[in-house]
Amino acid sequence: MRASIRYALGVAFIIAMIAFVLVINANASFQGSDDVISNMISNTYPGFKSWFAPIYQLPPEIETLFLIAAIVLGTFVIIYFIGHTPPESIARKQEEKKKENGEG
Amino acid sequence: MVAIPFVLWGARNVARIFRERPEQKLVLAVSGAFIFVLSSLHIPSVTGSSSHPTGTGLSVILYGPATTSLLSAIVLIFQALLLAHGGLTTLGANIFSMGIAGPTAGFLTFRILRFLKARLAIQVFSTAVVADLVTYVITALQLAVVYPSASGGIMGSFTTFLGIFLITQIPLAIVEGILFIIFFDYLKRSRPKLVVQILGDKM
Repeated sequence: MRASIRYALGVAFIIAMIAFVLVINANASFQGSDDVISNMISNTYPGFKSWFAPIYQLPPEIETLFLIAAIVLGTFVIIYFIGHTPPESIARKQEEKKKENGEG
Repeated sequence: MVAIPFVLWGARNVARIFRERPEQKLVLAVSGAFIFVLSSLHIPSVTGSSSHPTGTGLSVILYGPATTSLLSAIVLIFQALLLAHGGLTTLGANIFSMGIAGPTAGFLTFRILRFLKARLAIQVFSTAVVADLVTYVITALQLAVVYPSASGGIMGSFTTFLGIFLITQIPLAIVEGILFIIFFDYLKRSRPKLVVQILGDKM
């Protein structure tokens, strides 16, 4: 099987898995598992304060902006790496093409 | 305190890569980018709650747990300072679980499977899954030590927290494992010499 088909199948499986989760939990809030545990602890320990205390809290919209910027930046690095075809790969592809054409 | 020597060791490794193998800078950046992106993404899980993968699998395979601890520390500091994820007061605990314990367990898994000559896809998948799950096992343990249950003590809390984390996390670890199989296969096909150079022998 060609590599690109294998990759597409892998990505399709991941998307299908997430879609399945969304369908079977249509009314769920998808609260973070650490928040679930924090709530559980606060029920058990009435005086509970969250284990961590941010030194300062950014406004939610700025925080979201930073989160998106971080994801975009990281994704850009990964896509740049994938898009940046290395010389050894170009040479190998040329070699494969030559063999296909019966020149090797 | 436990995390500091690992992070310093990782910094030394990264400095050596920059000095001796500058062609690997981009691969190192991609390893960090995966941690950056995947640990920021909250993905819904079967329980109706959500969690995030750790993204440490690629870095563990290519550069080992020490370098991964540095990359994780950078990501966690960013998240603690700018996103209020985790927080500075628990930075050490978070670096220990996500940057040291998980990656070390993943690295041991990788070395054992390589020794057993398992298929590459199995090596990569298992490393990513173990690194992810062990991170949450250690987080559950850390929380249980701080908040022991009145009836069951530390073990009682540990099993409760672990149950919540694992049910949510197992599907996400599988997603992470599949993602790294795809990427590692791509890496091996597109940059075979680089992969052999990093891992020391032919895969």
